[in-house]
Amino acid sequence: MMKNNIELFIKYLEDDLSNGEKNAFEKRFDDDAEFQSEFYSFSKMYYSSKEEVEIDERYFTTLIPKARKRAEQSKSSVYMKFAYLLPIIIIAMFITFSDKNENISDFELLLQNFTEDEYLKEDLLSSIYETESLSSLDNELLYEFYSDELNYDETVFEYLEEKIVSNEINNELLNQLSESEFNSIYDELTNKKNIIGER
Amino acid sequence: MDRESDFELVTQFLKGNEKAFNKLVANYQKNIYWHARRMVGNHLDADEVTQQVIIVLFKKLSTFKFNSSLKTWIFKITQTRCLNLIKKRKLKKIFNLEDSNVSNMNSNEDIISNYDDKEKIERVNNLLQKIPEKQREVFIFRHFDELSYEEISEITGKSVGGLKANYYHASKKIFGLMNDEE
Repeated sequence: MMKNNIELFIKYLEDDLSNGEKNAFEKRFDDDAEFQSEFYSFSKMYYSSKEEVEIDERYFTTLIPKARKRAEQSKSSVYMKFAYLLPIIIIAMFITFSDKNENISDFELLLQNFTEDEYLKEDLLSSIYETESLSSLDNELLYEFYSDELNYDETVFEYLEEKIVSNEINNELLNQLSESEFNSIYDELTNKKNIIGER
Repeated sequence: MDRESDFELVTQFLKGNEKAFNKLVANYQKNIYWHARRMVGNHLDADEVTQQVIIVLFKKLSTFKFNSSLKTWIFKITQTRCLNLIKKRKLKKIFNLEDSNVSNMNSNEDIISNYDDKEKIERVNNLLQKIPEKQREVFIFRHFDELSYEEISEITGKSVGGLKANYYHASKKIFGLMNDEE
C-alpha cells in the first residue's frame, strides 16, 4: 500500500506539492488513519536513510597529502613520456607539414596546449604516444579533448565501446590479458590504433 | 559553503596561498567522498575518485571563472570521474579482467568501523547499485547531496522535468525495496 504513495510522500516532505495538493494531502492525513500511519513509517525510513554514520575522521586528513603525492608521481612520469615523444613529434611535424595536411592547425593547437596546460598535456601525451601518424588524428576527437577535459574519458570510452560493438576488438584475445596489458590497450585505443592487427 | 567564501578561497589559492586550497578541499571533501561512495558502492573506489577530484581541482582551479557555483563544478567533476570508473569496471567485466580494487573489496579498509553503521551504509549502497546509473545519480544528488533540481540540471545538463521524473522513479524503487526489506 505504501508503495502507491511514495511519490506523494516525498513531494510533501520536499515541499514539491502545489498549495491545492498540499491542502488535499493534509486533509487526507487528518481523515485517514491508515494514510497517517503509512506517512509516519515512510518519514522514518526517509530520514533514517539520510542519517550520517560515524566515520574515521583521520581519513580526511590524509587525502590532500595522498593526492599531492600522486600528482607529483604522475608529473614525473609525464616528463619521461615526453622524452620519448619528442622525436615522434618532430617526425610527425615534418610529415604533417610536408604533406600539407589539413590537420596542421589541429597539431599546432595541440602543441600550444602542451606548453600551456600541464593537465591537458598529461592526457594528450598518452593519447598521442603511439599514434602511427598524426595526420590520422581524428579532428572531432581532438576538439573534444581540447574543449572539455572533463569529458575526455567519456570520449575514449565511447570510442572503445564502438570498437567492441563493431568487433574490432577480439574479446577472446582480451580475456587472456593481464591488467597491465589491458591498460596498455586502453591507452592505445585512445590513439585509434588497431592493436589487434599488431599483435 | 557560500559563494563568497568559495570565491575568496579560490582567489587566495590563485595568489599562491596553499592553505586556502586545503580549506577549500576540507569544505568539500566529505561531499565528494560520500557522493562517490554512493555512486560506486565501496570505500576503495570512492577513495580513488576523491583523490582524482582533488588532483583535478589543484590543476584546474585556475580555469574556474565562477560562471557557475564552485559546488556544482566540483560535483560535475566528481560525477564524471564516478561514471568513468563505473564504465571502466564494466569494460573489465566484459573482458573478464579482475579489477585489483574488486579483489580488495573484501578487505577491512574502510572509514566506518562500527558494525551497525557499516551494515546500514552497505544496505543502502546495495539498493543504489540495483537501479540504473542515470537514476542513481539523480537520486544521490537530490536525496543525499540535497541539491536543488536546478543545480542538478546545471551538473547533468538535463531538464528539470526529466530529472524530477527520474528522481521519483528511482525513489519508488529504492524506498519500495527498503520497505520490502523491513
